[in-house]
Amino acid sequence: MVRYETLLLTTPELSTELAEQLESQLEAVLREHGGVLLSYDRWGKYFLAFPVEKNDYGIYFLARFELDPARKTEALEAIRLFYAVRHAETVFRHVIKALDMEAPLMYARPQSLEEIPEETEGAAPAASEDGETVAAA
Amino acid sequence: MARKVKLKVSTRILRKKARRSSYATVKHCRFCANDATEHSLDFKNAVLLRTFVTERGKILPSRISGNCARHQRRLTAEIKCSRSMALLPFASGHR
Repeated sequence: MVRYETLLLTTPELSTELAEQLESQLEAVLREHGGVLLSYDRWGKYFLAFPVEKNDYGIYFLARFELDPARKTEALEAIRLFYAVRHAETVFRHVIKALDMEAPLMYARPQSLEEIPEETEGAAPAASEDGETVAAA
Repeated sequence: MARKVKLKVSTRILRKKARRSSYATVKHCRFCANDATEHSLDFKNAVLLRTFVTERGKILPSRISGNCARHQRRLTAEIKCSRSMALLPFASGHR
């Protein structure tokens, strides 16, 4: 099997039902092409580095999956079509990358807006943090 | 008034080289140090990648960052991927 990961940037107004629907539909596409969904993480809401489709905020999702090497080309094409056709309005951008099978599944990601504690008035600023969160998949 | 004696070319070059080497600090590629740092070089790790770009969003050259050629190539690819996912800016002044 070959391992891949895909990072999705979706609209900030994505509802919970639609997020679950996205996961189940992605899993169905993978199953149809002989793949297995390993993990599906919701990173949370982020302030984007630059506006994407006139949106300053976006929600990131990271999915990891394994594919049969013999059918990987058609499976990857099906995933791209799935994003472009069925979720054209919800998924702004996506990237699919191959993963090393021996590499650890831990990864670091920037802190989302939901994880940053809200500052109360008059309170001292939080201790210096590099804003990095380590997640296991 | 004492005239400045012009040294021979070879002596001047040797002195210049010695002066430069005394000031310069030896740079090492931080990703070559161990496996953990190499695995941390990833397009998702925008906090790390942000240390390798300037305030304007330009990628730092390896002569400044000290990366080896292999890791500088990988770093460039990861920064570009991170930019395409709006985790890093292409340039400052978008807002």
